[in-house]
Amino acid sequence: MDEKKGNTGEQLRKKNKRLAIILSLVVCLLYGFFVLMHSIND
Amino acid sequence: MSTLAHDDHHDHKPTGFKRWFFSTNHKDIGTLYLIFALIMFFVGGAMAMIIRAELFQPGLQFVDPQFYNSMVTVHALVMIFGAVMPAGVGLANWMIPLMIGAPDMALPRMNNMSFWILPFAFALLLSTLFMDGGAPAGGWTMYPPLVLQTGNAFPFLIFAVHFLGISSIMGAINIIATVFNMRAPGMTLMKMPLFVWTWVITSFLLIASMPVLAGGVTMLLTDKYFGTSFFDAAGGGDPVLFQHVFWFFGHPEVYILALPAFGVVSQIIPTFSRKPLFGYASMVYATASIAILSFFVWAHHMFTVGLPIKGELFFMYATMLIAVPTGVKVFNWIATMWKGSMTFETPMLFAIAFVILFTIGGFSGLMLGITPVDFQYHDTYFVVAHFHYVLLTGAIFALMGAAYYWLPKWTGFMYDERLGKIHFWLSLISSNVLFFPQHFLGLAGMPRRIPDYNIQFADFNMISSIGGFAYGISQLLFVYIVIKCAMGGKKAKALSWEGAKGLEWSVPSPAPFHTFETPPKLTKEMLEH
Repeated sequence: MDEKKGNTGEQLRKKNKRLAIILSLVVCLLYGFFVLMHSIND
Repeated sequence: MSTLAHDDHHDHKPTGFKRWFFSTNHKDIGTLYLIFALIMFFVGGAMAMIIRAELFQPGLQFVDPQFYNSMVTVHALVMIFGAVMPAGVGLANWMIPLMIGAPDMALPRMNNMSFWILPFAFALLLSTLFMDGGAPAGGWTMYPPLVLQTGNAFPFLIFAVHFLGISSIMGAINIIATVFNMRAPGMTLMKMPLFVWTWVITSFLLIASMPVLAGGVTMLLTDKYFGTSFFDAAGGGDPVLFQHVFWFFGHPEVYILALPAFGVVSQIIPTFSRKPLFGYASMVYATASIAILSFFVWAHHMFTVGLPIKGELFFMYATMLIAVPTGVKVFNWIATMWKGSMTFETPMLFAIAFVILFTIGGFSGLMLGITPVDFQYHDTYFVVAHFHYVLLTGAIFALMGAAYYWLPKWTGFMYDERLGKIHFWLSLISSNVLFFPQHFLGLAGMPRRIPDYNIQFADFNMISSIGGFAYGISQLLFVYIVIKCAMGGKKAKALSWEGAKGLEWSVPSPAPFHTFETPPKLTKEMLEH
């Protein structure tokens, strides 16, 4: 039972981390897109 | 209720410096955010007092124009990024895990980091007050070419803004991960309290808009120090481009400040009306609609720069459109109160004042959104009156209401209701004395961000300043009430308010250090909003 709970906890941590990484990438993309777009325009 | 006995046995916590500096506990980090926001509220408030003292009479009284402009600039940055946003994040940290039955935030160490970046960011920003050339004085909007004339303070301003953005983005990611991954079984998205919904939507706004601000200020930095000319007409750039970039962030930012306030009010009004929130689903959709529309209205801040007429028409109509979902929310709050068994404790007073005064701010916003009318009002005190109705009697009143509403849950004691009501009435009267005359000043043509003015504006400015000083002093009473409540008083029950519903009221008051280590069993009553 404890092992199962531990696994679920680990899975949840992985799930949280994965979502955080995806959202961070979105942020970096938006930032990069804005600067890059204006750099090319310049 | 099943969690109550469980939590009582597990209330061990670290102490001293370690507890606060290395904290990964959502309640402690929430408390840190709220205390930080309150300190910044007084720092920004002190700057507002200097502004109002200078404007008490025509002519230059106390400060030189450069310092006055620094006060205007830093007051805005401190209040927006240091007071209102961290206060909202503090409430989110404290309440979201309790409301959705999660043991903590999804990413507790990142939570710690996103808070502790803030004091360093503000150390950078406020240190500029002591530098040669003074603090930034080009307005919080940082328009080039004016802002590029800032002296040594310039890189400090840019890095402070970057850090504040990073902190907000990390907070937003944490909230999204918490709500999407950590909800208790049975807590479906459409059963979440509206406060949680408003914060999820706000988090997406932060993620979409903050990188744009960061991009804009990075380009300012490279324009000043690395020879680029993004915003320099002499080098083929365009200063108006910065205004587009800034307001693409800036308008969603207004809703980043306002949506959590909507969430708070949507919790308080049903509790003290003893009725479920009217039109829950329409409230969720209205909040999402406001958030989406906020990305299509940015140029209403720049009608006077010479946009093409078709562009002006588009942004005018898009701005008008936001009144529809906002109206849905206001009518739903009123419908919630309709035929309810209402009582008027301090949180409810602040919530009702919010509904009325935010609507006044909304209406003056609609006036400003009409292009030809904006040509008359742009950069006058009418704009100052408008956004202070939205942000002070709007967002800050809601935050004050939230503090009174959840203080029993945080401290385990009821606050002094009599003093709370005195604080409310003093705040209500003084803030209206402060800001209502500014509408007339603006309509008569008094420009903003100028330390001196024509003698015809003297009377309304004096009234406004008296209101300002009264509002400032009356906020000291709030600090006294909070400290008094934290020190002791009448014990608060788990269900601190008779009409309150939701999971957060199932844990004891004060909320134990650890809650919901095992997912709670949700009852129908807990999900009745």
